[in-house]
Amino acid sequence: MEFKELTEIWKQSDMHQDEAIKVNHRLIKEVGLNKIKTSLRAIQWSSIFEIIIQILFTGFFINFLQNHHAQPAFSIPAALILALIVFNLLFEGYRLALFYSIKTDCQVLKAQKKLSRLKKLEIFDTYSLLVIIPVFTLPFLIVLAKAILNWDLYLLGTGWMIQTIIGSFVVAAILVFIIRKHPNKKLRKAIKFIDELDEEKL
Amino acid sequence: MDKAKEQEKEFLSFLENYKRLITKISGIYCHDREERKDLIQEIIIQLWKSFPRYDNKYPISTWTYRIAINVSISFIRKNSSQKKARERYRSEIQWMEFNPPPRDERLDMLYQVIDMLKPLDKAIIMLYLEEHSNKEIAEIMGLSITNVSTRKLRIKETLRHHFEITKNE
Repeated sequence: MEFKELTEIWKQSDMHQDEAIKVNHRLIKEVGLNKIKTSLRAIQWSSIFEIIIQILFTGFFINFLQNHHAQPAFSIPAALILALIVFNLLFEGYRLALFYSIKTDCQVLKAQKKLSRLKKLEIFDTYSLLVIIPVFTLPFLIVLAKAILNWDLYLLGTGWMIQTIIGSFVVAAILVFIIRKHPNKKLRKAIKFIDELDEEKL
Repeated sequence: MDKAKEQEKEFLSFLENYKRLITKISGIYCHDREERKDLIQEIIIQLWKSFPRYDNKYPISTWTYRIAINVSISFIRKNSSQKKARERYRSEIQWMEFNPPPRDERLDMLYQVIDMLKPLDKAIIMLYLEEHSNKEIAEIMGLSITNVSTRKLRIKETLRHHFEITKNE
């Protein structure tokens, strides 16, 4: 079939469309337009909440570091966690900025690239928890016990620490194995789509 | 009349003018009737949200195409947050009713082969069938003019191939 013919077929489909489509003015006016104003933005409240919590934690850890800077046994784990929180803050900030920079009236390729990047960041965020939780549990427990209860968990000996570290690594290894065995479909889709978009750029 | 009411009126008249474009784009990205209704609503939501920001340095049709295509591609990628939002509207509102007339066999075949294309290619071929120039397509899609013409050739070749297969089945 020639392309000219296709265009003709396509045009013919237009002929009766107008009568077939009815816009519900009353419904859109009364219910729709007002509702839309308060709708989709709510999705990002979780990010904003996360940023607020992280700012509070940053304050808490800075304060802790100031009070224990002469005690490396406590200041080093606190500094580690602080670095992680600062990284997370930057990450969330970037994600939020990216989210608000996506406008649906952008050129299609640009908007879709940003959406794909956002999707990848979301997935990375979820996956990173699998590493962060096991690795940072021990320093977090040490700092928290010292800050809130003034307990020195080092006095309990090194046995429980070694067990916690080994346990964490085992858990992380299992999680990595599961992820590799059953890769996330969304991630694969997002990566595939980004590759497709890169092809478009030429 | 206050500004908000004026804007609502303008938007509804804009919808009347572009309802065909919206249903057409939804049609190439979505075949299930219920899903298509959801997609149309999603497009209307995004159009309304962007309406106050419309920048008249672009023709309104370019602006509408961009939004409708962006929303459709995102829709088919099944963003879960959008899905939740869609469910909020589904039960109560049906914003655009459409009972498309029966399509002829050749048109069905055309839709069938378009459906085999990648999401961005679907948009390009639809714009081509709507007789937009390479420059307009490039403007809507964010591609260079040369890129559009290269892609068009490739898509036409793919379509021809799919037509052959569909015919022989």
